[in-house]
Formats: sequence, structure tokens, C-alpha cells
Amino acid sequence: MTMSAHSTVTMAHPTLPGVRPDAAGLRVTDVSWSVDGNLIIDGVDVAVRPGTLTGLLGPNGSGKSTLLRAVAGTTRPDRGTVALGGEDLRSMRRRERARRVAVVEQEVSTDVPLRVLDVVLLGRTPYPASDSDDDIALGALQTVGVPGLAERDWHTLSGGERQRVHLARALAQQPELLLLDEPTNHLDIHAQLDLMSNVLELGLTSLAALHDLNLAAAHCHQVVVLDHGRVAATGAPEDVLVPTLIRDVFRVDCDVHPHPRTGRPVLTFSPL
Amino acid sequence: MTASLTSGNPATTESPPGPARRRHVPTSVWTAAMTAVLVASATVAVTIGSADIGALDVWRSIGSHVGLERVGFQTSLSELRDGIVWELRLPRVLTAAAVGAALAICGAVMQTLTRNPLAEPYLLGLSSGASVGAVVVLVLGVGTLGLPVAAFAGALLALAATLALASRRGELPPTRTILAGLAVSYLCSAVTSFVIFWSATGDSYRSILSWLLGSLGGASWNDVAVVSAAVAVVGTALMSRSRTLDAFAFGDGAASNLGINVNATRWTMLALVALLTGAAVAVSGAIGFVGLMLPHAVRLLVGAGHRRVLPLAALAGASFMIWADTVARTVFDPRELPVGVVTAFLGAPAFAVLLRRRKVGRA
Repeated sequence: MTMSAHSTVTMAHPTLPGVRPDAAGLRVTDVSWSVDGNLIIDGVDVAVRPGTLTGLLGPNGSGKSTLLRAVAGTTRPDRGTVALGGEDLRSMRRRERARRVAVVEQEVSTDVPLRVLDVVLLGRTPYPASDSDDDIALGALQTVGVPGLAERDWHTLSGGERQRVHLARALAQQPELLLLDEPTNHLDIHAQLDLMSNVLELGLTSLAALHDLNLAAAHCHQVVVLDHGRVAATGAPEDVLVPTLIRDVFRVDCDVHPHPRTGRPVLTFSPL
Repeated sequence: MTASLTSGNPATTESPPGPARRRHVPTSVWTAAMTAVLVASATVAVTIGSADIGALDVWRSIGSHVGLERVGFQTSLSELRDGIVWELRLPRVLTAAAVGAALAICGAVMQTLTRNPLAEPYLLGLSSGASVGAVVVLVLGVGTLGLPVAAFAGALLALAATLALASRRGELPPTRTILAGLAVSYLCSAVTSFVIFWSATGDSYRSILSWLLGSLGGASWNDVAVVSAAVAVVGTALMSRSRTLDAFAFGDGAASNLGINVNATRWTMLALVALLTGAAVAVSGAIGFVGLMLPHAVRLLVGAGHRRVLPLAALAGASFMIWADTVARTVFDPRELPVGVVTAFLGAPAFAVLLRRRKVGRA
């Protein structure tokens, strides 16, 4: 087996699919944001290597969603820079940014009657209308593994199918960076694993806020743990998700075992 | 910051598998069909009334007035019948059509921008606000052009009041929005009634009724021009932003992530809606439920894409309004029913259905 940039990553994580070496990396530097004088995130640094998935972990209120919104440009941080492939995302026009960065939120819903294809086509909003839009949208559905859903009524989909369709919509934006805000919330276990492996297979530079530490340990190349708006730890899941840190940040006791099949860390929790 | 894992949300529980909803009929067919229905409705509506007018007479009159005689078009219409068609019935029918189109467009856009299936100019107080503006200008006696402008200002103020009352932490909960609209609407109706009663010398009750419940009696070619121009200009402007409107389907956050400047877009478009409402109310008074029903009906046919919904809602609203007004002026002939009474008879049940189906109470 030849050693390339591609295989170095897969060597580090034998169970994770490979990355796209041509992708752009994300660099968040010293980002702070406060509301009414309270610092919600405080001097956060995060670097996501091109084509890898970074899990953003932390208890409720630790600043995960706020950081994602600052990266997405929905909120303007008070301080700090957000750069994608070396370009400052904050100085970009909204529309330009929406062509580079796509967001999948947790369980967003709608009242209006939409076909699945219409939902995916929303991903073309940042671009001028084109004849190839339908093909791009259908291709995105194919990529997330649900090409048969195109003509279905969005309201007839299961929670897992809806999140996949939102992932396809994000792909239709042809982004360089994928942001996911607790994308597996309310999904059953099959749909959770499915969605996460789907995200990994895309090989996009991805940053995902996740609640489930085991889901993160099993799927992420890197995890960043936030605590009260600051980075408590950054690194490979097996290096970061250790009992002392879990105890300090999440206020639970935990044991870490290697997964019997993949060797990746599995956490079991008990009260302090 | 993050929703707890245990909070059950009905929107995300496993939904039963349903049949695929396919649109077998192309949009162009719907457009052609609804245009045909509109032309036929307008023609037939002009023939209905105490004077006996045939469908051919309608087109003879139109032909003679648009100058077809000079190119050899034969009209054998008496001056009296021509006058009934051209001076009385046709302006009224065309005004009804333009008002219906305007209200349907307004309803469709408002439902999207407020993410509220019950939003429309009447229920959110815009129509009543526009009535206040119009009535005040009438009392002050400022010329004809002042009327739609004042109605626009009234609609805009009422809209701002409703949204300010309804918004909570930057969101517009559907139930609060409807209640706020109701409060603004009642206040504006009271002001309208008060101003008319205070100033009027003649039949103030009739005048109050026609502003609060709508009337197309006495519609002139001037009215046709005002509302049609508003529909053409504002309607085109809104339709050109169809893709932007589509992007609001999953809420403000999703729209923002798709590269839309949510606040600027919302306020620009709602101002356009107020303008269109103002033009409609200035000639017809406050007519409810047209803006509620027609957009939903059209979405059932062609889905939610605004490029399809807006033109079809306009066509459907126009035909609907022609028939509502025809009923209003004929059932108790020679007395006229306010046309809003007719639209409410059909619209209130539609409101009830939407209220039950759309989980609006979940706010």
C-alpha cells in the first residue's frame, strides 16, 4: 500500500472512510461572542483539516450552536476570524458564503406542501437559476442514497429520511464546508448511524455539533470539547474522551473501552 | 441553547408511509385553464343582471370601445346596452377581478414570510388599516390619487403594529400573530366607523358596511386602472423574487443559510404587500378570506413553488372574486350584500379547516 496524504488519514482511523485531499480546511481563530455582556463563546480556536469530520462536543449551553452560527455567518462574532481555505468567510457576501458553506440543522420542518426534489432544489438558491439544477439535485439525492424519494411529498418522510434530504439539499449548494447542528437529534439509532456514515463518506470538510459522545467517538476524525464557551480539549477521540475530561466537563463518571469490532473508544457512563 | 433530547416533537416522529403526491397536470395546463375560466367568468358575470345582455353583446361592446370598428368590426349594440356593459358592469367585474388577484397574491406572500398558514391581509389587520387611511382621506377630501396612497400608509402602519404586537424574541408565533391581527383589525374598524359616523351626513351605515365588509358597487374605469396597475407592478416584482420566497419554506434560519438577507427581504416584500393591499382596499373596502383560501387551494394543485403559486393564485383569486361579487349584487337584487359577507361564508369554514389541519395552535 502506497503512503499518500489520503492514506495517512485512513491509517490513523482504519474504520473511517478516506478524505478528499483537495478540500479546503477550516480555521477558526480566537472567536468570541457575547450577548448582554455575557460571553457565550470566549476565544475559541478550532482547525478542521481538509476533508475531515470534526465533532463539536459539550454540555447544553457550552456554546456549540453559537460557534456553528458564527462560522455559518448567521451571527457576527465580536472578535476573531473564520477562514475557509485561507479566505475570510466573514468578509464574504451572504450569497457567496452560501455557495461555500452549507448547514444542516436539527429537525427543521415546514407547513407548505413540497416535493422532496423541491426541498433539495432550495440548495440552488445561492446560484443563478440554471437548467442543470434538477440534475444537481437528483445527483445529491443519489449521493445520500435516496434517489427514489425525489417525487415524494416531504411530509410523508420519516425523520431519518428528512435529515438525508436536508443533507442532499446541503450538497446541492456544492459547499466546501458542511456544518451540522445536532443532525441526529430525534432520529432512531439506525438513522443516526446511517446519517453519520453518510456525512463521512462525502469527504467534505465538516464540523458537527453532537450530543452523543459515542456517536462522535465512532465517526469523527477529531473532536473539540467546549465548556462554558471555551475549548476544554481538542484532538483525536481516543485522546480527548478520557474519564478525567468527561468528569470535569460533563459531570459524569465514565469508563472507556475499545469497541470489540472497530477498536474505537466506547464510553459507558455512571453518575458521580 | 439546545433542545433537550426528551422533548417529543410531533413533526419528527415517524410518519406513516403515504402515497407519492405527483403532479400529473403540467403548470402550463393549469395556467391556460385558469385563464380561460377567468375570461369566461368575466364575460358571463357581465351578462348577469336585470338588463338582458348576452355574452356576444359583451364582446361587441368591448370591440367597439377598443376601436375594432375602424378595422371593419360590426357592432349592432344599442347605446343603452352598450352603456350598461361598458359604463356599469364591465368596470365592476374587472375591478373585482383585479382586487381578487391582488388579495390572493398578498395572502400567498404573507403566508410564506410569516410562516403562518392563516396569514392574509384581512386577518392580520392590513385591510382594516388601509380602510382607515382611505376613509380619513375621503373625509379630508384629498383628490383621487391620495386615496390609494393613504390606504397604503394605513396598511403599512397596521402591519407594523400587528407584527410588533405579535413578535416574541424575534419570532412570530402563529397564534399570537392572529390575535395581534385581530386586535389591530378591531381597533382600525372602530376608527373607520367612528370617522364615517362623525363626518357623514347621509347614509353612514351603508358607507361603514362597505368599508368594513367590502363593496364593489360604483366601481369605475379609474378603479380598474389603479388596481390593475398595482397588480401588474407589485405582482411582477414579487414574482421575480419567487426563488427567494421559496427559500423561506424552512424558516428564517434556513433562508439565511441559503444566502438570503432575511430581514431586508421580509420588510421589502411586506411593504410591497401593503402597497398592493392598499390599492385593493382603496377601491373595494376590506374583503376577507380571499387571500386565505386561494393560495392554499392553488398549492394543493401545483405544490408550493412561488413561480407557479403566485400567477395561479392571482388568476384563481380574480375568478373567485368575480363570482363572489356577482352573488353579492344579485341574491337580494336590487339590494346589495357586502361582498365580504359572501367571501366570509366560504372563507370562515376554510379557516376552520386550516386551523385544525395545520397545528396552528401549537405556538
